[in-house]
Amino acid sequence: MTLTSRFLCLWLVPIGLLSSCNKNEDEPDTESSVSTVVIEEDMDRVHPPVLEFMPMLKETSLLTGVPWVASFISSPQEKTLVEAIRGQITAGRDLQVVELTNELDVRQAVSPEGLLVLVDAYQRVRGRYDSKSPRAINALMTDLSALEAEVLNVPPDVRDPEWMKERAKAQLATADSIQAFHDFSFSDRREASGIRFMHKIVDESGKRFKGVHYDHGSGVAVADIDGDEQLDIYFVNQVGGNELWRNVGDGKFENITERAGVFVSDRVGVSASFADIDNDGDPDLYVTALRKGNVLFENLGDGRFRNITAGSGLGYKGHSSGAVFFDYDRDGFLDVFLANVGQYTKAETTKVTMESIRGEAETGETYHVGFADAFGGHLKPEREEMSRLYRNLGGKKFEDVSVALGLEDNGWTGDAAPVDIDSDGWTDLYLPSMQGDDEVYLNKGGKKFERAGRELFPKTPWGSMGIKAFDFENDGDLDLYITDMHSDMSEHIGPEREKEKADMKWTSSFLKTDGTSVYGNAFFRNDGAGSFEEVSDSLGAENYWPWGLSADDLNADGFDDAFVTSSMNFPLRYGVNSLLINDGGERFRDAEFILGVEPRVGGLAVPWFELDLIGADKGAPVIEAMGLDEVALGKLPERVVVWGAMGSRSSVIFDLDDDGDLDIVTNEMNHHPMVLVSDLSEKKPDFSYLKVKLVGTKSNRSALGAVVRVVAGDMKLMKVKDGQTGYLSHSDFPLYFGLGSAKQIDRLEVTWPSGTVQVVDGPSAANQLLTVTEPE
Amino acid sequence: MKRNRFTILLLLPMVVAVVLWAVLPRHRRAAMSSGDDLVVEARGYGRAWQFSYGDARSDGRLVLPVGLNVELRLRSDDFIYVFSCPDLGLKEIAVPDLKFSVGFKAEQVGTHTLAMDPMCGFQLAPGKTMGTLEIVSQSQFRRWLLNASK
Repeated sequence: MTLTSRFLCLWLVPIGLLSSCNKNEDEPDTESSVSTVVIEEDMDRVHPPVLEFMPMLKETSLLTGVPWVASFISSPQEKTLVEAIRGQITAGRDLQVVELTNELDVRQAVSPEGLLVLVDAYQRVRGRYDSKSPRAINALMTDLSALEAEVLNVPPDVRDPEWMKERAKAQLATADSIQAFHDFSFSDRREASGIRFMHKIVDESGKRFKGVHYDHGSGVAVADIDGDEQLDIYFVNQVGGNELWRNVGDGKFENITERAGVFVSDRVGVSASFADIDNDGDPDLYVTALRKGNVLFENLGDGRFRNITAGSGLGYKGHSSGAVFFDYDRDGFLDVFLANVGQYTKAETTKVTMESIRGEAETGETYHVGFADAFGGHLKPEREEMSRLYRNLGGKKFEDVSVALGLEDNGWTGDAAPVDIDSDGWTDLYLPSMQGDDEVYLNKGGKKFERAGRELFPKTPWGSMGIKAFDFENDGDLDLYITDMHSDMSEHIGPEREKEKADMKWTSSFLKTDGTSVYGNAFFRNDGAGSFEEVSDSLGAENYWPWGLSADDLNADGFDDAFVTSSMNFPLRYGVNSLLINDGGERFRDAEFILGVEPRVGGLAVPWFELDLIGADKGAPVIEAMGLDEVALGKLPERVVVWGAMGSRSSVIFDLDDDGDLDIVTNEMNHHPMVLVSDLSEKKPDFSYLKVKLVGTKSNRSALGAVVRVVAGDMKLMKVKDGQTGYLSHSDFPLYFGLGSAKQIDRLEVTWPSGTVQVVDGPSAANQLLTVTEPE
Repeated sequence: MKRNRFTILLLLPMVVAVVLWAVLPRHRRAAMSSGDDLVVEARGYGRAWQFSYGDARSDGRLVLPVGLNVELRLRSDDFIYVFSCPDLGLKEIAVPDLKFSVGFKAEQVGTHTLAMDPMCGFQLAPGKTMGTLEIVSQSQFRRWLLNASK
C-alpha cells in the first residue's frame, strides 16, 4: 500500500454525531450555554451540541481521539472542588482532566466563566459546566457518556504521521551545516493575538469535492489602516465574510470589520490589495471575489472605509484572482492589473452547507457550481477570461485600457508581478499562468505593452501560481521566484520526492505547451544584462504543492528568505509549508522544522465535513469515491465526520508586534490563520534592521515601484516596493532591510517612480523606522 | 459428386462470412471497416468508462482483437478522464465537448488494467481502477461482439 493510499484509507473518521448540531436553537452563546447545562431538560439530551473549536495547545494536542475535560480554576476553592470531582468523573474511565488555568486567552475564548469544559474527540467544545453545581456535574457525566459513544476510531496517522517525524529528524540533522543564522524560531500565537477569524470553504472543497479552482483559497493583506503605525490585517473568506483585525499593539488584535465598514459576506472572496488610490495618505482596499463583483473601499482616514465600487470602474464580475497596483504610466496615480483566471464555474448556484461541521447553522449563502472539467479550462477558448489593466483617471475612477494598450492576455492567471524586467524605468508585468505558458508584457513608455514571454523566458513552469521578484544574492538586480502548483498535481508522490521536479504524467494533448514548460518551481536568476537563467534546482527552490510565496529577511542577515505556502487538503495528505533560509545568497536551505514552523501545534488535520449518510448526503458521489460500499456503509453510524489535512494558501511577512523582527501570518483553507511570531529579537538581541517608509509626492503616495538601495558597511542591499506580499496578497507597509552585523546605515538611495533619485547620506541609526518623503 | 462437395466446402466459409457481414448492424460494420480496422468510442461518466462498438456497449470492459488497428475515440460527459493502460503505454485524455483519440494495435492477447488517474474528479479509493482492457483473438472478439450486441 502506498503512502498516499494509506492516508486516504485513514481519512474517514466516523462518529455518531448529534442530530441537533445543525439547528440554530442548539447553538448557544457562552452565557446561555453555561446556564442551560444545569437545567433539567438538558439532562435528557442524547448528544451535546458543538459549540466551537478548542484552541490548539501543545499540552492537549495528543488528546485527539478521546473526549477530555479542561478545567479553568480561578480560586483555591475551585481547585479543591475540581480535585474532589476529578475522581467522580474519571472513575472507570481513561479520562484526562487538564488544568488550563494559566491559559488566559484560551479561557477567555472558550470559558470566560471559569468552568469545566468538555471537549470531544475532534477538539470541539461540547459543553461548559459549573463545578459548584452537582446538577451540572451530572450533566457533564451524561454528556461524557454520549461523547464516548460517538467515538469509533481516530487513526493517529491523520494528526501525527510518522513521515513527518522522519522528515523533521532529517532536517534537524542538517541545521549545523546552515551558515546563515537560524538559532531562533516561530511559534503560532494566534490564540494570544486574539484573532478569531475562521476561513470557511464552499462544499466543492469538501463534501461535493471536485477539482475546481475554489481550492486556491483566499488571501490576506496588511496595512496600517488608521495611521497608528501598527499594521492591521484583512482576511478574505470564501464563506461567512471577510474580516479586518486592528493591531492594538503588543501582538494583539481586535475585530473591527463592522466598524470599519469592510464586511464582504455575500460572495466568495479571493484576494485583497491595499494601496493608496487617491494619494490622500491612507491605504484603500480592493477585494476580488467570484462572479458577484469585486469591491473597492475608500479609506476615510480614521479606520473607516466607504464602498465606492459603483462608478469606480473596478466592479468587474468574473473569476478574478489577484489585483496588483502599480503606476504603469508614471502619472502619479496607481493603476491596477486585475488577474482573471478563466471560467471555472457555471452560472448555476447552489447552497453552502459546509458550515454544519462547526456546529453552526447553515447560512443560506450560495456559490456557483464549478465545472466538473474546470481543470481543463485552458483547452476551451470559450472559457477564457481576459485579465484587465485599469488606468487610474483620478477622482477614484478607473478605465479599462487593456485592449488600447495591447495587454490582451487570456492566460489562466491568478497573480502578477510588476517588475522592470528590461531595466528601462517602466514597470513591466510578468503573468504566471497556472495552466500553460507564462507571459511577459514589456511596458513601452506607458503607451503600450508588448508580449515578450518566449523571447525572455523560453521555458516557464506549466502550473505557475505565485511569484515574487527580489534580489536573492544582493547583486543589485531582481531575480524571479515562481511557484508551480499544478505540475505537482499530475502525480501524487510521497514526501521523499518533494524536492524533485515533477515527473509529468499528463499528455501533451492536455498540457498544450509544446516543450516550453518546466514542471516545477522556477527561479530565474537575473544576470544583470537582461537575461534570466533558471536555477531552481541548484538553489534548492523546489518543493511540493506550492501556492505562493512571501519573501523577506526573516533572520535579518541581509539576505531575503522565503515562506512558501504549500498544501492540499481533503482528500489528500498533509502538505508541508516551506521555510527557505537564504544561505548567504548561495542557496536556499529547508528550515521549516528547524525554525518551528512545522509541525503545527495540535496536529495536521481537522474535521473537514460531515456526511448524513441516510439523509441529505445519501448516495453522494464522495461516498462512492471514498470506496465506501454497502458493506462499509452498514458498519457506520448515520452521520460521519470526514477529516482533512490542514493547509495554508496565502501569507504575509511583516513585523506584527513591532519588536523589529519579522513574523508570518497565513490564511488557511477551512481553518484559523496561523500567526507565527518570531523570537529573533530575543534570541539575537544584537540583530540589526532598518524599516523604510516611503511617501511619494510627485510619484504615487504609496511609492509602489520605488527602488531603495541601502549601503551598510560592506552590505549593499536593494529592494523594490511592489506591494506583493504573498499569493493573493498585496499589502502596503514599510520595506524591511536586515542589516546583519552592521550598526548604522552609510547611505540610502531612493529611485522614485517619477524618476527622481534621492540620496539620504549617513550615517543613520539602525533599528529604526526611517520615513523618506519624495522631494517636491 | 466429390467435386460438388469440395466446392461446397470451399465456398461455405465464404458464405458464412457474407451472411455474418449481412447480419451485423450497419454502424458496427462501419466501425470495423473504417481507415482503422476497428473504431471504438470510449465515454467517461461518473468516474467510469463505457465502450461502444456501434450498437454494442460494454461498461468498464474494453475487449479488442489482437492484430487489428484500433482507433479509440475518447469522449466525456462530466470530468476530465485519462484513458490510461500503463501495460500498453496508452494514455490520452477525454474532455467534455472535445474530441481526442488514441490509435494502437495490440500484438498479444492478455488482460490489462485501465488505471484511474487523479484528473478524474478525484481518486480517493486506494487502488481503484476504471476497468479492464482485454485483448483476445479475432475470432473470440467476433463472438464476443455478437453476444454484446444482442
